[in-house]
Amino acid sequence: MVYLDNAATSFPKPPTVYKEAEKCMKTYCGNPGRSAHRMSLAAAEKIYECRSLLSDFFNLDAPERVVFTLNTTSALNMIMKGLLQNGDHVITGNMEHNSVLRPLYELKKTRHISVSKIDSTKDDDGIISQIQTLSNPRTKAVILSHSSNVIPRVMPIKMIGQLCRSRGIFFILDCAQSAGVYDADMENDCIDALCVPSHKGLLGIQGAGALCISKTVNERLVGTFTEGGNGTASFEPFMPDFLPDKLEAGTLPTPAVASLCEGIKYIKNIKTETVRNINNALCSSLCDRLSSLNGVTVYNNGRMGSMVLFNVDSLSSEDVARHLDRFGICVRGGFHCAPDTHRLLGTEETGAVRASFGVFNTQNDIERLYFAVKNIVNLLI
Amino acid sequence: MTERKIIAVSSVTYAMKGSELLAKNKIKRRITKLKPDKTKRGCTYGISVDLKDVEDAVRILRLGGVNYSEITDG
Repeated sequence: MVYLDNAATSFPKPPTVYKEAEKCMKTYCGNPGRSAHRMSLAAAEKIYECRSLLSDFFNLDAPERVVFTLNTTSALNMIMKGLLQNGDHVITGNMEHNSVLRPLYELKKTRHISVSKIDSTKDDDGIISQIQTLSNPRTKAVILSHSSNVIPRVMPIKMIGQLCRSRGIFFILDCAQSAGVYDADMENDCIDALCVPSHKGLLGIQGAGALCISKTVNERLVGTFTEGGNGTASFEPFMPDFLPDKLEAGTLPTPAVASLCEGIKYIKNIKTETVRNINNALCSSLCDRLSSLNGVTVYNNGRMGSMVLFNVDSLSSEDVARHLDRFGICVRGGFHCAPDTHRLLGTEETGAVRASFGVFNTQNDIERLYFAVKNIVNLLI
Repeated sequence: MTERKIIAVSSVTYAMKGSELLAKNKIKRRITKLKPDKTKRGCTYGISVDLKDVEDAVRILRLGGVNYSEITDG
């Protein structure tokens, strides 16, 4: 099997990730923060270790400001719905995932926020210029994906963060695709909130995500998202007013968090630059190979990164993905939960096929994909 | 047996953070939960330390941003 759907979820994981998840489930998976027996405390210790690792990884310098969630989507919902109030204005982009767009559309309905979209395809100066032009006294937040999940496009986050900080605007960053690949430094890049999943570039298993909230954000400004038990102050009728407990109701996904610890350690060991180099090399190779085939359209337009988007003329993207699956190749066809991006690319009728790389992909995988696509094209002739 | 005191903190996360700070300063400590009759809030974590270390522990915790609500008998 050739797995080229790492933008959806990374596979395989490093052996240490599987080992730790299993070890957690078999030996120390008590409920963290509920009891004082050895298993509960051991679980709590692992949870705290992960908070510290994430805090360090993103230069947050505050493990207690790492809030564990189910995934990036719940982290984004949590910060948006906790922070945005009636009448607020938000700036986002035209290449965002539905995990950014849908909560914003919902808030337009329920809290009458207004949303402006920048053209994320512009160059870095163009991005900044648009944010400068669109921001007004009611602008509460700029919410953007660090890296697109459809075609390679990485945002100039330091420039954006500095602009937002100078104007008193919150900068919320969706790092679903970038974490473990492109660096994000919450302090130096002036990021107020950063959302990540455990199961993509950070190489943990599915079931956890994190919302990292900068020390520049007054925790009292962020409303609760879910209320319930959290093992503390049971007689208090309301959720605690401090992080992370304010935003963590219910049992945390301890095995997923434990696995994430090992994933982060793996990435720190090999370094994100290595991952970028692998991705760029594979991307370049695949773009060249696919572009040499008649009847194949590649949408990268010279951009290198973690994925290649393409179509086979006269075949729907889902059919191509299905054919490739028969060759033992896993890719994703369709619209990738990114409707605006597909409208931009002109693929809103067909969708497109996305091959997305991970740290364990090789040139051999690229060759196999190329020959499989060539086979499909030849069948159409 | 050495007398111990429990420094009550906001949650298990702060108990962990506090424990880490105290460990760096070579203070013996153990994370525990307060007895129900010792806390009005219900379900409170604390850091148990020797009586002789309480003053230092409280200072280290305060400097490290770990707030505590009370100090009770261990």
